[in-house]
Amino acid sequence: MALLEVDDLRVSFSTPDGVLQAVRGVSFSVDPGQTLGVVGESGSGKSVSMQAILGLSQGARVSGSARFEGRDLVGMSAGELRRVRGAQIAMIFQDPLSSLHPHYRVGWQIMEMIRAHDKVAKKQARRRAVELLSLVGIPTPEQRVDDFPHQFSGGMRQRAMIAMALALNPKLLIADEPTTALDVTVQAQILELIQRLQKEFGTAVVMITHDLGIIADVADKVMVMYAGKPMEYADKRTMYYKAHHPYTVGLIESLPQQGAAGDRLRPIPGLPPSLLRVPTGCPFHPRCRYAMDRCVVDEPPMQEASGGAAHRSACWLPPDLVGLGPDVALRREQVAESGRDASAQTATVAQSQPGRR
Amino acid sequence: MTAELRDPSPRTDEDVLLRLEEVVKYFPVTSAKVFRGKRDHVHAVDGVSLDVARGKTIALVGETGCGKSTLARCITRLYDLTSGKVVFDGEDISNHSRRRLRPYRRKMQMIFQDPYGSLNPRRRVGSIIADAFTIHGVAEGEERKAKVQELMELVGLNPEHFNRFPAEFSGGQRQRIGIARALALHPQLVVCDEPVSALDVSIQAQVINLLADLQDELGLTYVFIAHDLSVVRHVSDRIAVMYLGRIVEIADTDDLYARPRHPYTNALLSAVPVPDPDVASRRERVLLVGDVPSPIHPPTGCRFHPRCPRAQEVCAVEDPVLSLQQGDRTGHAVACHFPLTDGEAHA
Repeated sequence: MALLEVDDLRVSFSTPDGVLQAVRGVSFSVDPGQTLGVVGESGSGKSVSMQAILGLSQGARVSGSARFEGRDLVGMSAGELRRVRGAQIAMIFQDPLSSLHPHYRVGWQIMEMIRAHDKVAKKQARRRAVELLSLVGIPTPEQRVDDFPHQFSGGMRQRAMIAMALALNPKLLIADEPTTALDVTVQAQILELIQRLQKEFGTAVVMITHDLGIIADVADKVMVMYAGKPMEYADKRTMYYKAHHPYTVGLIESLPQQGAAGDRLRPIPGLPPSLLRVPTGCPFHPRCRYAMDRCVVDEPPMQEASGGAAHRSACWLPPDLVGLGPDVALRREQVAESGRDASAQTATVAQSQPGRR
Repeated sequence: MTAELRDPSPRTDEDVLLRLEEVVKYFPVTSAKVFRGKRDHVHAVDGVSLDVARGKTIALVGETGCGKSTLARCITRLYDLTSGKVVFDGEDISNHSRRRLRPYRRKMQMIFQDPYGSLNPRRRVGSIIADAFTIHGVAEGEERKAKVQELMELVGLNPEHFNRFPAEFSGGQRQRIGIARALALHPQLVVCDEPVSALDVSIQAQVINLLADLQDELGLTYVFIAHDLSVVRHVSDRIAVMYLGRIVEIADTDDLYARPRHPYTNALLSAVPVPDPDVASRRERVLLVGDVPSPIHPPTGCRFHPRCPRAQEVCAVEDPVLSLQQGDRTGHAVACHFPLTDGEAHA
């Protein structure tokens, strides 16, 4: 049975400019011990959807369901949710400095976390805090436990956050861009640490990131999000080698390739849409090379694609058109051509001019 | 106290636009110690020598606190140097007064990382770009407006948007505004300080292509500062790897990626996540222990020795000199007592 099963999650905020639809129908599941990678650009709704599940998105209207071990987290009372959060589902954030209280000692903050959920003596909690700090690789944890956050480096703070997150042996760890603020060598240390602890304790991980390199490293399954919706869902190898959705293909192709220095990059033209005014039809159609007439009016549902088992994609292109490279691109182009009315074509091209909107 | 650290690249007939000689920049640290008479300093840049060839791109890479941004601000003389020389197009500008620097300000410009913080939110885009014209008294009235619109067109912005405010543009578009502003006076050298790291992947590629096109079109020379090694590989001809205020390795781009010599370069390259699951699972990471030490009291000897997997006793005592490898013809220099050989680098 899946550990977390999210179904048609929707999150919106009212703003002075209108209703902002941050998440517009997200479904996925996470199995015990598995790592789900969630990729997307800023504003794709990847962080908001996770925060909404944990009841951390203030002022948001949340609908849909998120069943954690069979219990729906959406609509759960604040008190009940508080018992799940931290103990069963832990979260680490991008910025380890602002997630730690600057005024309290690191060890005290870990102890508070433990004592909020378990009735243990202070002494015992402290011993546990030292243990945890040593587990995450903080040198001389007996002394460091009494340090303030500012005495820790960025990497050590993120380690402390991980120690805190793992304090109560959660079944699910949600990591929201945990290494984005860190240098590459420290990032490698932190990713290694998360993977080691995951193996040791069987924790499931949801890794939210914009870095396709990190996903290639740590994920089992991958969900690609755009404009508040999942565009594609597949296992890691399918996603990288047999992607179906033009957005996923565009993302992978826009990366500087290893060993291909000097060539021009192939960016996705245009900009992500405003969530106050999401385009009609497929949200990606204004930037899509293969947009057909149908894409402008009809929103494609998530449907099966033939890249691998449980491969799903929200695109009107035929499900067997998967993969990268010029051959598939040509076939996609041909299909798209036949799906366009001559008069509508010019409109699509005009819309996809880079930087002109 | 600084060791001899020159850029030992073979100075052939290549046209050098910018030459740095032993550039040092210390920042005083305010602390209670002033009362005891001795003041600590952050050794931000500690003896960097470098040649930048005209029309080429040199990248400075390294982690937080390695001094790459400080060096950029020393090059453009936004900072005064503690010691050393900045030679631009044959003229030593390291001690020029503000007045004497003025003509050079036109020739070298900077693009900053944060497209939000580097544009005044209360001013219209057109007037932000036109600043350079105002300051240097170039073009007036209609002519100035025409020039601004031409620049906006050049960087892929809609020229009709010159009356808008920065808030009306996305991050990628703002970075284009920053680029337009930098190019206003036809500079020869553009120092790009992490120009794409705040942008989303799909937008990053747009801006990188733009920078490449502008280089071809206008013959620009770039000093490109970044921590993303895959971007750096794509844009640069030559790369200098920095660690705690020093260059530890410098080489042509392909050579550096194929044959890293310094253990730090090797670790850095191996730590970059590769967006390819098969490669990622095959690859072995060289994990460094600990964090970058404080630049206030940098380690003795080789500054990398406390974290270096190859360190031996001599490394803690003797500071290695940046020098060419034996028989090297490409200008691949490394500052290490025990550089890696061909077979030892990460795959």
